[in-house]
Amino acid sequence: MRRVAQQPAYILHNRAYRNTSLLIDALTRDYGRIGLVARGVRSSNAARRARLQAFRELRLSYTGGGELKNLSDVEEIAPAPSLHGEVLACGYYVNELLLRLTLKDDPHDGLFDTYRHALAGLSGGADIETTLRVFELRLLECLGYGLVLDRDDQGESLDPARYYQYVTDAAPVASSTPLPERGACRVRGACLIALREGRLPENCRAEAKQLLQTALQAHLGNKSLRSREFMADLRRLRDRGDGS
Amino acid sequence: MRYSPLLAELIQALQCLPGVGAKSAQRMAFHLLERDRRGGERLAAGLSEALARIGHCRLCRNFSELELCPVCDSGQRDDTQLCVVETPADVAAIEQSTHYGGKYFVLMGRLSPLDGIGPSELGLDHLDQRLAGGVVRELILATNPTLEGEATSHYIGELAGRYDVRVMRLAQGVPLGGELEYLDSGTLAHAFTQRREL
Repeated sequence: MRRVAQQPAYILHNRAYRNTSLLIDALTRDYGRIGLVARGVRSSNAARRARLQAFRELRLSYTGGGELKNLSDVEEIAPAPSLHGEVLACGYYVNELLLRLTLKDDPHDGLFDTYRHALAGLSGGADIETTLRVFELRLLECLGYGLVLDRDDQGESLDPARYYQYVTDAAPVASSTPLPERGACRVRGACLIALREGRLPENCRAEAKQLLQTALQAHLGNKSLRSREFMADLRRLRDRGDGS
Repeated sequence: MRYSPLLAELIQALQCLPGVGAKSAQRMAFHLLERDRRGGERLAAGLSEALARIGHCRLCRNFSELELCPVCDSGQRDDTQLCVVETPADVAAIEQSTHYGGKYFVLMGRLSPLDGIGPSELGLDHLDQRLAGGVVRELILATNPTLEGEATSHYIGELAGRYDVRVMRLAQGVPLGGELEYLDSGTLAHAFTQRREL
């Protein structure tokens, strides 16, 4: 039986399984996303249960080579990040993207660090929009769907002042028409360059969001993201509160 | 071992209970048939009547065969305090171990965005109406200290924001009789930041 010891990992999602166990989806550093079962933790082992929460950096030891591994030990490395309210909803979003876009037991180089970086940004009070856009961009890169942000379809470097049509999986096309074609986004060269450098200036936010949403949607399929609906619910509530 | 059809069906049926596998189900079935047939009849009658009649309390959503459960119906309890919990078991736990004298709202779950459990599944519109009634002055959020419980309490906090209600969250800290050395870091960090003056 295969045994993995002290593997750095984050829990993406867990849910109750039978009477006292938990089913866990975790992102490991070396083995990609894995499925685990933690037996008996809901009834007897409160300290272990407390560690098995999403967003905490852990070291997991487990056995088994199949779809579902057996968790044998948990150690926490860092204190739990503080994610509350809207930031917590963003954390759910990041986790849901990983759950939807990665396959089990299929490791991708750099994905673990990308995730860790995004969490550090969210819990450390960095700008949420920038953190999310950079995460989405790097996630696509890690999965092999990276966006072309350094040249246009003719191989020319990007002109900050020009508009580009961006069709997923192709290089940006310099655009003279003001309206985007079907399935394409229209983005300024300056924004593409900023994104490449991991920046998100105020006047690029909407374009960058649309660009990355379109790129992600191509791989997510038709099913909508539940965490996005939750964020929308929260926002509606807040707007209602402000309005009255 | 092959049982007669009726006995096999009984053993199979008993396994729907939590923590009951084939072996315990067999023991229960034999016990009822051999030693306690009257107890079995009582169980059968109680079960079928309970399943047929018990629904949810109109106000707090806890289980009740009456329109209002005994807690909501009681004139002795404080209407201005409302404690929000995840499950009926939480109501029982609070009733047994505290002197809380207010009323409850039972969510019958918790928000779990990734499992598709949203505000409408938890009857939060009921809670909204209750707050809009203007009687409640203090809302005590007693959801579990898990991430889902945290998301739930944040959402309800936002919901209550537009009413004139004091929103409280249960304190978190070191368990009684616990030892700091063996505590997980999250709990300890919480206890530390929320320390109080002696």
